[in-house]
Amino acid sequence: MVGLRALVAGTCLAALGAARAQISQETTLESYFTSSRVHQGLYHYLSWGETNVRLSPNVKATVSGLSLGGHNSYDEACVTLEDKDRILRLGRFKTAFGFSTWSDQFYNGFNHIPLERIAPLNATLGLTRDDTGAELTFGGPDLQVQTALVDVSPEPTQIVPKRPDHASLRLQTNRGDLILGGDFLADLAHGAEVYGLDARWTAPRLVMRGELMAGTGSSAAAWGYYIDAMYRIPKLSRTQAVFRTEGLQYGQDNDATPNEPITLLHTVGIRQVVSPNLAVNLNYGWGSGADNRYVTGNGLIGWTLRMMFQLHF
Amino acid sequence: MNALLLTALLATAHTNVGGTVALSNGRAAGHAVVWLEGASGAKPLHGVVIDQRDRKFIPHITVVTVGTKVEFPNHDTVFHNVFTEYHSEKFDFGMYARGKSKSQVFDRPGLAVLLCSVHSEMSAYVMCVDTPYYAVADGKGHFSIPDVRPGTYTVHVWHESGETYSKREPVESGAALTLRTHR
Repeated sequence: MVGLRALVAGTCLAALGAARAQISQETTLESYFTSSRVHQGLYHYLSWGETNVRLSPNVKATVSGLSLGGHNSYDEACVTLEDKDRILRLGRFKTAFGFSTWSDQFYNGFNHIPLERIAPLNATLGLTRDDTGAELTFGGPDLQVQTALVDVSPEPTQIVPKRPDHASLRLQTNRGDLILGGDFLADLAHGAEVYGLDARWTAPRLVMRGELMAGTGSSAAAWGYYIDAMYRIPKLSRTQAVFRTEGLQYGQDNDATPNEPITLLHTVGIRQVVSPNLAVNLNYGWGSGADNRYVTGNGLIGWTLRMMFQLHF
Repeated sequence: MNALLLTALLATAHTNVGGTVALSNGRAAGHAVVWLEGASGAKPLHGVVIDQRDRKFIPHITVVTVGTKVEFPNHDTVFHNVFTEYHSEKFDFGMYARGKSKSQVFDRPGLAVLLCSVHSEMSAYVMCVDTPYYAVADGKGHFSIPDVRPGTYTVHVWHESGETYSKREPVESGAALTLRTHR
């Protein structure tokens, strides 16, 4: 509640500061249904909604929430101040770290978030999080710097950080058709870190992307990677064929060194945008080390179907 | 001498052509594109920009003349992948960082539908025309084309719904056109 009041107050202050405000509002509502070995029939597993209020060309307020497995929480709730080369986000948000945006994770032909993003990479840090704090983006497309000081374990409705004891740094460069990124997240209180590299390369019809992430710390260290290929099929402008290969390795008995057999998962699939309001994915997954709880527990082996309904207004 | 001068003035007098466009169901054809084919003298436009911001193409509908180079900067905080099919020629910009821009010259008349392969709700239209006389109607279907030389033109209308209008007719000084599109 305190956080909500802070967000409202921040938004109002931003509004007052925005001379000649031209307010516009956009809302997106999404529901995801899936069918797999774990969830047969059509299973509603996720709903998400986001409202962006642009108070001026330089000020935007964002509130998004999700309902996942019966649990409701804020996704993001922040104020964004931006000019040509700088962006400041205050509140609750997904800290820039590899391919961390909702767009990166959900608007593609894959029915699951990569294993390295589902699993914790050390005892205290994983990559699928909402943080609270402040993030500053600066620089240009040739070298963009994103740095943040955040609380990585907020309550479901928390907006103001209580323990901003994690520091994040992301560097990104765009050279021709290649976009490269390097990431670093440090747990200042416990001395654990996560390092990452990511790359995107695009050619007509084709997007290739990949991440390599590794956690360090005194226990439960892990590392993982994935490589995605997404190809828009000729004469079918709204149909994409996709392939992902990924791996995840843990330390035995919470060892600080990843030494358990690596879990490998390969996924092939197709994405059909039926209309601006409906996208359907069909995936087939196979691999080794499939006893890993993040593979079997999420039904990633065999056929999976996902339908995403979206309203945008 | 005076008669000759009057004839010359009439021949060169330009007028505003305005009117309204309605869809086949009677509703206003908001943001329809209206252009008069048959006039020469169209020159490429300069400084035409279609921005990517807040998961939208801005503006949603753009009219350009043949030879116009259009810039497509990315000012969004997420990545887009802009592509289109334009006269069976496809351009696909791929992904590029915030602050970068790519461009495309529209060198033949026709319609290009811009899409994003990431965000299914994103779309925009570029209508390329070979005439200096064109307009985009407002939300109520009202349009105004300035400085039109009176004559006979083929009046074209295109609307996002897919409805069109095409008819050759005289356009006189101060003409007010009432157009209704069809499937």
